[in-house]
Amino acid sequence: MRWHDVQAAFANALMNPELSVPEALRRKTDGQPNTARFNVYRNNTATSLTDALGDTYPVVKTLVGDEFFQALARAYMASHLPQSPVLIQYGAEMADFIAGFAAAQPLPFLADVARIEWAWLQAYHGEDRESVPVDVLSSVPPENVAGTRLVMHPTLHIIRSPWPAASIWSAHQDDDDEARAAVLAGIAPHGESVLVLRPSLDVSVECVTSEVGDLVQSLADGAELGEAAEQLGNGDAATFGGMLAYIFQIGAVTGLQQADANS
Amino acid sequence: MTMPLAMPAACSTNAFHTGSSAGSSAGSSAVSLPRRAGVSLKTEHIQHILDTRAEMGWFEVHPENYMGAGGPPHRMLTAIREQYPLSLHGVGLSIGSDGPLDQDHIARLKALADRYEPAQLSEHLAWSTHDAGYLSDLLPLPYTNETVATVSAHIDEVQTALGRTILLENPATYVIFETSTIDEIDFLEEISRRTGCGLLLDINNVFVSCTNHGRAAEAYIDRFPLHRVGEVHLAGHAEDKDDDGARLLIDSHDRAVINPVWDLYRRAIARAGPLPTLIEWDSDIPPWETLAQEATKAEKILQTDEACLNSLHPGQEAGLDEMA
Repeated sequence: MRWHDVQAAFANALMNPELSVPEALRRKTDGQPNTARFNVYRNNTATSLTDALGDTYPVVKTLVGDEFFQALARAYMASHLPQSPVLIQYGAEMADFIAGFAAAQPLPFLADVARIEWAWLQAYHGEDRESVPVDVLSSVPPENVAGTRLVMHPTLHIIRSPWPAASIWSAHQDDDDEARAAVLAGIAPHGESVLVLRPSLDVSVECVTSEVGDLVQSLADGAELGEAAEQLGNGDAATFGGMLAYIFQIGAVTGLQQADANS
Repeated sequence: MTMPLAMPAACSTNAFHTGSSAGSSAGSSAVSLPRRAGVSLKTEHIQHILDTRAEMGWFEVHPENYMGAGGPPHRMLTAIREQYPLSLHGVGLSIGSDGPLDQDHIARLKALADRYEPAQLSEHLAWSTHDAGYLSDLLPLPYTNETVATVSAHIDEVQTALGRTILLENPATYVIFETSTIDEIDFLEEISRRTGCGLLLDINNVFVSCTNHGRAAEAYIDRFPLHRVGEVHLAGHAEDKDDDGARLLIDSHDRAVINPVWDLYRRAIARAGPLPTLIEWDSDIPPWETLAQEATKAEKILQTDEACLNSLHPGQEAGLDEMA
């Protein structure tokens, strides 16, 4: 039997515990499989991928408990094996998977907590890029400001949740059990917008109003400042200016681009 | 004209100050790390290591953990690399696979090797990727003429892409392929001969595999081609039982090295002379002091008289016999 076929049988048996040990591994003497030995490999794969997901989703793991998380991880890996050996990139589809995971329905905010954790990891390992201060806008001739686009930080992620996902995430960043209990006891369906980015050394998770969340989303989608101000609606220039200053202040902007430069 | 004979760092009286230069001229060409003890670099320890300028011969990391675009991991590894020799020990190339190697992964590894210029780069005699994806374990292969050719071709490919030779590590195994026709040591030696790659001798793996398959670990060490070895690994393992109630050791890297493994290590070093030696500890990470103590224990063995005596005649075992 060619190695190609033996390897395929091995991989298949590894991922399907109901299958028996591949024939190539059975004892010549009596043809018996040694299941305990093959199970070391099955266990290594399952444990290692569960650990990798646990490292990426520690708050989800705390919220559901070890046993539930293990079941969730095993269900996820059955349909989503890593597509590269770089496990810091494993688990990209976990939030959507949780949203469709029947047993997780009693925790409707869980998928969005997972989105924050994934964004945090992406920001942590993301590209290093310097932010620019709001002053750069003063170098733009006044007549060109409306047609200016902001180049957003490559690590910026925007999550808009119908649940207080950021508050739940924040309450799990230290071991204050009382704070956790207080947040979890008071969960109501009020939305939160979250900006996750790493402007320098540390990842920031900023809980913002839905107006700021929408504005950042629109700027990230390439809106010119004039358009973005218009979308904001109420025509309050001071409010828009304040929001813009905040977006620069958290380090979300790395440069400016004149809209007509590309058109 | 006689060439000055370089003393291996581990035997020098001020080894701690001179031992950091890679590539001592003594010994086999596979050695490019200092002939000292090193440890796995763990995130939990990095700040302490940098703050205290911790005494350590070198550090080893899994390159896969540093394949993000930027951020704190690269900042920390850069700071470590500025002060210590570094070894990249890959777990993701899947060199034992029948299928083609992952070109993206080779490119990522090359980028990392270019960025950090590690003293050493190694991988496993194992496979970890199949059609469905990455299986996140070092899986075994049968030793046959077919797989000698496959593994050798893969190593050629990696070495050509990286522009350097690598080390290949002997595996810890729990099963045996009844289809194997070649002994493990002969298999490794043949790959090394064909590709020019060096070998990484993991002595815990020797103990685990030999125990699991009812073989004598001492005989394995005695027969291993130590002149091709560029690095030694030491680690702890867990113990279980198989279907027949037989002892089944599991290569867990989660505890201290046990005495029988230290004995095998002394046996290897007495024959080979000092070799770069890693204390490999990957889960249930202990406090830095515990890890450093394990490294000190290895360092003491590297400095024994017998080890140093042999290191004066590197790779010349046959020559010594002729002189006798």
